[in-house]
Amino acid sequence: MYLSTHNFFIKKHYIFAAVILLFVSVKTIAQNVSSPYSIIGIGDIENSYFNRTSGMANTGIAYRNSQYIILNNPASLSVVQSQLFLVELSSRAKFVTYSGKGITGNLTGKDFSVERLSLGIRVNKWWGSSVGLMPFSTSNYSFSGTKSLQGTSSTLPVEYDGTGGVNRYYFANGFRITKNLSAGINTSFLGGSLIQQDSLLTSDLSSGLFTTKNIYIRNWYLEYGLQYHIPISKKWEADIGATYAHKTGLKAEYSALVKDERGDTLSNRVTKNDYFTLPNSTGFGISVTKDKKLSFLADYRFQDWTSLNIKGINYSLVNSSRYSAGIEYSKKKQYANILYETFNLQAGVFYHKSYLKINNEQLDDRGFTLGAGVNSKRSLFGYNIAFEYGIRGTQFSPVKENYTGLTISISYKDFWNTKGKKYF
Amino acid sequence: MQQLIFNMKKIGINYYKYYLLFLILSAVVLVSCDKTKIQFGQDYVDNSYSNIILVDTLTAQLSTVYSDSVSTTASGSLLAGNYNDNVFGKLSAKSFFEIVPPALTDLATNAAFDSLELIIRPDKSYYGDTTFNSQLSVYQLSNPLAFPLYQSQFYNTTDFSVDPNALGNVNTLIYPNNTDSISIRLSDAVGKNLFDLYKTKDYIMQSSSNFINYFRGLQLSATAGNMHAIYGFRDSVVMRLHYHEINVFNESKYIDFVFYNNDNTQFNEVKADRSGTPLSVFNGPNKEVVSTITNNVAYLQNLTGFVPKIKFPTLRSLLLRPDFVKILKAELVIRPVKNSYNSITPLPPVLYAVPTDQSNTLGSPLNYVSTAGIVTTQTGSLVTDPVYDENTEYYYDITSYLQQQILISTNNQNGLLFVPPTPASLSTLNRVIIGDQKNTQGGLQLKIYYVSINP
Repeated sequence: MYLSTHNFFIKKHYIFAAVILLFVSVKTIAQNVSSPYSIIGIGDIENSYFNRTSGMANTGIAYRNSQYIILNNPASLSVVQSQLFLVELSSRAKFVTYSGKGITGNLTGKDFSVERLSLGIRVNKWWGSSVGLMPFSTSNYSFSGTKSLQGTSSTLPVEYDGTGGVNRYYFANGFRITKNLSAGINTSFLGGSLIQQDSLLTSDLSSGLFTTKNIYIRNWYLEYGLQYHIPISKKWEADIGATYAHKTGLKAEYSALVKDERGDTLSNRVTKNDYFTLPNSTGFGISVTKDKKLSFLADYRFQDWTSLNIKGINYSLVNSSRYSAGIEYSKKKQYANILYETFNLQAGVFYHKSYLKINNEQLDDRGFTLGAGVNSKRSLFGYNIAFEYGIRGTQFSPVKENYTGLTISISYKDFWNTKGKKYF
Repeated sequence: MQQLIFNMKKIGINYYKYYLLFLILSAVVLVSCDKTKIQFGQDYVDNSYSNIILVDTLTAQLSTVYSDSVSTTASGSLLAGNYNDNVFGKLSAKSFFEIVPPALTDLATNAAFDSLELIIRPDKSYYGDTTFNSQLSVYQLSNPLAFPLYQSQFYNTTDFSVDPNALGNVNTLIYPNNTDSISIRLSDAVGKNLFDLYKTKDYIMQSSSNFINYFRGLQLSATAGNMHAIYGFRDSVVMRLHYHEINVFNESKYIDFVFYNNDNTQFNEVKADRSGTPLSVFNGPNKEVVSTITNNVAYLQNLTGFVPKIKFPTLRSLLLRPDFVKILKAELVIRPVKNSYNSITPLPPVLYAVPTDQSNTLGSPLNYVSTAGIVTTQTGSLVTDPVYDENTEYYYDITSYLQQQILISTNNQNGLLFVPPTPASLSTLNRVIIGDQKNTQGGLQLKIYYVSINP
């Protein structure tokens, strides 16, 4: 009896998951906060994991938490609590103020979008697993320009609009190898389209040419992780972690659709098949925890873009480095022999030299985060809110973005597949 | 512990459903649609794939289509006068029309004839120098205005003989912008005769056809030798017969004989003596002469048989361009030759662009369809530049016309004829001298914007 009820709930989870996945896919279309730099490369590469670590500036290569899906390092999945079924849904509201060399006036943008859906389980004693969807990169911009009218010295007005992005559909697994050593692998399918539309109008605006260029990107992407747990004393414990992803060529199919002002298709074809290469990426992290309450974390992430030699007019892609540090206070209570968290508080800082070098200036991004989370006493829900304030670029950059983000993660925990006997 | 988990589950699952639904809905609703425009990125776009390219080097082949006769039947306007045009030659215009008596009424037995006059009103159209007096004459036709067998048209070349003695003359200054009536006193003898016939209710006065058979009609013309101008008059002509009745006082009365055109016989004769002018090459039958033979110009004066035509013989060379996809927009600008027009020989304010083929028969004029879907006939939207005389032009959007023409793979002899709309084309002598693409004094400009996509 009890068993069949459980199966019913598990089915329900999957139905909900499917519905939510649909909305998450819609999100990439609806997202509309301008990110001018996302016209370059593969778009804005997302540095946030939209999870429990977001309040600590996404510092978490050495972080592990049995109640949450931590994708910063897939090895951490090996500690997901037995018999738990985890669902996490994260969304982010973002508000950006734009300034910088090329910008006059007070320009702002805002949006709200669902960013991540994850399902996680502990498969057996030594294996934790998670599947889900989250953004890998996004492209979102809009500007007016001119295009020379060939055959004359004059120009025509043109509007550019960039949308789309690359989604990450992942299947991550963490394995406990020895008592303290875990390893993980995150197998992702990266897929999505970077879309650029340009609307070219004749000088009297009566006719026009509407070109939609689509770069359809897809391939498998593997990330590996290790975590080692070091019990130092009764009070103190430490973890160290490392991640690595090998250089990967993403298939990029370039296509272009041209329509006229009446909507008639003038041309629609694949223009080239190419690759967009992601470089070798490495990350190192350390975490020190006192009394299972207070944790100090630091991460370093590095991507070897320079060796790929990707260049364009006025820009090149160069090695990116991200330094971050975070602190977490976790208030726990004991039920029977289980430590149960009631709330947590977090803070973090980061400094990121991004992969974009524009006019010989490497664009950087720095800021701080604050986070807080509670676990409902009356339900199986947990809520984490992370506030982020950051500045991308400087006043000498073409565009400087001052942004505020609010990431809300809702996690749901349920018990599953107990086979009627393996309670705690 | 198990009890606790059970309770959590009971409450939690309900929450879970509604909370997620709420979250998803709010995410969808909160996303607004205005994306901030940031002027960054022009350097990073690849503009080479699709483009609009302007080609203004394609040939617009200009020619003059000459017709030796132009139908002027029922033109709605009476033309009379002479003008010596240094390009179009010595032009003389005469109008032929019928008048009919009103329904018969009883006149007092003592009613007596006074006078007969023809009342005409200028219709504001003119051609020539209007600062000189004109001498207009009215003649009675020798024969009724009857069509030749199997015909129902009179032409600018048609002539009818008249009684050489004028019924009346007037020598007056005509102000073409003033529509005050002009009176021409006609012969008393003719007037007295008509009065008697009317008073006695003669058979002749009993129907229009009886009267026309008897009286035939009138010709309005200008005295030969006075070459200053040709005027247009409204066809609401009245021949007014004045008489009086003797009661206590003499009471003046009149009978109006009115313009009659139920048989469509009103027409204007317009003759041209082109000897010694550049247009003398057109003497003879119908012909089409390319502008290179006529000094890089083409002529328009519909009433005397001149209509310009433009063909696009090299249009299909666009298809040889590997990047060509389609004509996005095509504009044709026609510029009259500098100093070829003035207030004496004005430009037609409206010129239709009318598709035609080798036979030079007129199709329906090109339309313009606005973005709102409203269809209007293109008028050429004449812009005059009285100061520099450089930007006087007619403009046509020939996009859809050329989009059709480029599809024709056989030897394409189609073109556009440029004519004023009727009735203006039949009632005015407004003229244009158009330069071709090689004419430095103003000429044709053909601009084709095409969609280019990298092959």
